[in-house]
Amino acid sequence: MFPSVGVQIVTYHNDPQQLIRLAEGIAATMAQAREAGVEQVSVEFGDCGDPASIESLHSALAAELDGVADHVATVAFGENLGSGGGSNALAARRNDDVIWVLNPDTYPSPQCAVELLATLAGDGVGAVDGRQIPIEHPKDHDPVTADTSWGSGSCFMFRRQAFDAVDGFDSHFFPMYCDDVDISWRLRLSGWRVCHAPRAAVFHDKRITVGAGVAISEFEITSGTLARLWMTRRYGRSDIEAETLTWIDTHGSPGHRAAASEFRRRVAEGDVPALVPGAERVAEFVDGEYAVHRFRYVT
Amino acid sequence: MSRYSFDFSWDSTYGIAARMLDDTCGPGLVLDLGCGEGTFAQPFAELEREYLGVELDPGSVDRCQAQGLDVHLIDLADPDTDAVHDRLVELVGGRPVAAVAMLDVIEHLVDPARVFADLGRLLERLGGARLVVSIPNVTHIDIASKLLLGRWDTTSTGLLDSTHVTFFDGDHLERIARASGFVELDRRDKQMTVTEQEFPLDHPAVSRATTLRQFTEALRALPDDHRDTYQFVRAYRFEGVTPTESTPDPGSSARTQPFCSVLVRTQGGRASIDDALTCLAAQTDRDVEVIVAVHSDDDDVVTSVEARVARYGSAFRRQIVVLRIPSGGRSAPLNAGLEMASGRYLAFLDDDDVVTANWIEEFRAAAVRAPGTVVRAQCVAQEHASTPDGLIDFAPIEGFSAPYNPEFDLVQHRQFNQSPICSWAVPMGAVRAFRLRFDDELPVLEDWEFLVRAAGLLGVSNRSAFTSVYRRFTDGWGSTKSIDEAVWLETAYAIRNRLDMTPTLLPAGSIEPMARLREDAAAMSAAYDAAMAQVEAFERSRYWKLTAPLRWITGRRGASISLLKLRLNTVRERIGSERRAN
Repeated sequence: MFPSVGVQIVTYHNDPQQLIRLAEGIAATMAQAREAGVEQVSVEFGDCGDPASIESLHSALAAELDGVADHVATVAFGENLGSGGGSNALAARRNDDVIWVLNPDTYPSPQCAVELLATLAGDGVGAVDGRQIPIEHPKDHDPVTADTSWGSGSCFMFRRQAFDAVDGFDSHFFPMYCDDVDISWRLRLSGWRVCHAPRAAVFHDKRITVGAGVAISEFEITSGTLARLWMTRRYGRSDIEAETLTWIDTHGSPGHRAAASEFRRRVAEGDVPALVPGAERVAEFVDGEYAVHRFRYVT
Repeated sequence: MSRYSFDFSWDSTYGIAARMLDDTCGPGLVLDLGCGEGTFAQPFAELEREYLGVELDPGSVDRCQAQGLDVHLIDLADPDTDAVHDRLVELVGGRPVAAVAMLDVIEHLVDPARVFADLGRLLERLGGARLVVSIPNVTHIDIASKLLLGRWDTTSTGLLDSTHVTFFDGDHLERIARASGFVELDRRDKQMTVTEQEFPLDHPAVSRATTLRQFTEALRALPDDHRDTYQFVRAYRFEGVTPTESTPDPGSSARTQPFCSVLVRTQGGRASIDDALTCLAAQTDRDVEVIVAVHSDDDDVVTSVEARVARYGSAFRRQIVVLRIPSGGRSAPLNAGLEMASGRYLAFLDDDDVVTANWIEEFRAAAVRAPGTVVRAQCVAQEHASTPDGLIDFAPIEGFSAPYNPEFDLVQHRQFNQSPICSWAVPMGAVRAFRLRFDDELPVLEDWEFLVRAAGLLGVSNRSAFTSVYRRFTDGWGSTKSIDEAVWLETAYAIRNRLDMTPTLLPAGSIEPMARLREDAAAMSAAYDAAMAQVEAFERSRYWKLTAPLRWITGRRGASISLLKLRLNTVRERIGSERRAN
């Protein structure tokens, strides 16, 4: 078992009650991890929004984690670092053997940490994600080895050694989306395995649309589209980049168009992620997704 | 003779009370308080018990004494209770007393709580005698039905005797007796379906033939067993008031009551219960109590569920109760939830279903809009399959589908279910008021049958948000497919027929869609008849007959017209079979 685990949550104008509930869930699952042999637990909340709000929550969060966490911190970044940037900043503050990134809108099941750690301990495994409920992510994984194309950043656990080896998340993916796909693929290029732990259930507060699909906000559309364009650039798929931009120019919603115009602006400024050498060995662009999907949700 | 002069029979209230007294009380005399004409004395000669009566009306006392009965003049309403008791003890004269009887008397006295308290003291002075009472039921269907239509007909005797000053329902009598320190030994309530209240005979609340009366009778049967109770006939032992005993006023409600109780039904074997519980822990509205009903007689199973529950965060864990249901059918755990839920609402979650974070929040929004109704939100279905060699028991194999009608349509629900059990919650006030329970006799569909009954009485406050995921198992892993299809169909039709045997209350706007359907059906039928008539007329036509040789040559011989008739007949058959199927 890994001696120390650092749980880290990047927050941005979140409901205080949601964070307190999350702390309750982390306390319960890390208590199980401690019983399984983890010796040191740290939990850090890094806030990209109003500095006063996260600091005012410190005592309530610490109370939830009392008796489980050896160290609890609330860090006000004072600026919006984005999800990847915030996670990197929190990771840099500590030296725990394991980094566990959780979204603020999650709630881990009691066995979540133990199951993630068990999978992470597998040969050559650099990172592992949990199974999301109530809306299970459709990306595929190997039913025996658990290997997967990429792990979801909503509940993503890393060996520090692997995380550091690839310099963590790429903050180009500001504010969020696809930074998890990107780090997964870079880990795999460096020879690490990325796995899925289906027994590590984690609640992720996603909602179902009136059309029985998965709700996606306009922000998610813009941010996700921009991220997709970065991914095509980074992994050498100029064909998909061109195809995507053409589609947006003809059919895109205002959210899509905002993403395309931001992408073009940054390309013009030369602010683009570097092409990853050997990208074709790991990059999976399948039907608009980044992995084979077992099924599809309507959006 | 007074108006309270009745003939004795063993079938009458007095006969029933005498039999019960003889069965439940020890040896000794019977002290009859308010004995009237002494009717109650008659059976005790046969039962070989001494009888002592007291009565307020001097004329009655004289007549009793003239018959040779041991009856004395006493005003029980005399405020000097001690003096009354002294006089009674004196009349008893040290003889053992089996029981004090108060038949049809308490309702004539102004303060029943005080009457019971005084009776308690008297019983103690008489060496632990029992108490036998008979009291009219003011909630009898004959009174309820007429009161609903604004009638309160007092009569010279009976349920609404014009001299009654206090009135009892079953619950009131139980509470007052318990609070006064009495323990019930026996009850043989007198049932009567025809009473002196049955007038005027042509009144819609009285005539048994009206739909209104039939509906009222069905409704009145729900809350308690006293629809037809004419008199409560009870035997008590006095035990004294214990200081810890407190009887809350039914009008008060606890402030700490959670908004919703959630019954999680599990047979214990599935890890998926952690999915269900984690979804509950992550609710935006955590004003809940979670009852995990483990339907298993295996101690190890119960222990393993308890161990799972123990792993949750302390605040959430304190909201969870684990309940062991060792026996019974599919309804047993659900009914256990109805018995013990402390929330204002009760929602249900099977251990393989999951919900979004706003599941409770949406139920609350629906309850705020229409308090006391059944609350409902939308549910998606997701096909799952077991993964025998995989890292987990089962996994989804499709995205979401929305197979259920987003609106709650009661008539459609009477045909088949459109609301999985995780998509609605029932108000506990109604559960108690109507004694709502899941039918344990049903092998399947118990949730549908319950919902239809509850929704028919209460109506439904419906939300458009999807908040639950009903996991379906195509390969028989869940219960849906493991039960024989024939059992489902047979049960469904049995339920439908049973529900249709009593009048149904429909919400506004229910009839017009049904009327339109009938119009559509009639129009379709007419269109069919017209088409068939046209085809047959063509067949008989001169043209058709003249061209027959041509068709013979070409080998078509009217095949197309036969085919058309065949198709029309198929249409008719399909309409018929759809009707049977629905």
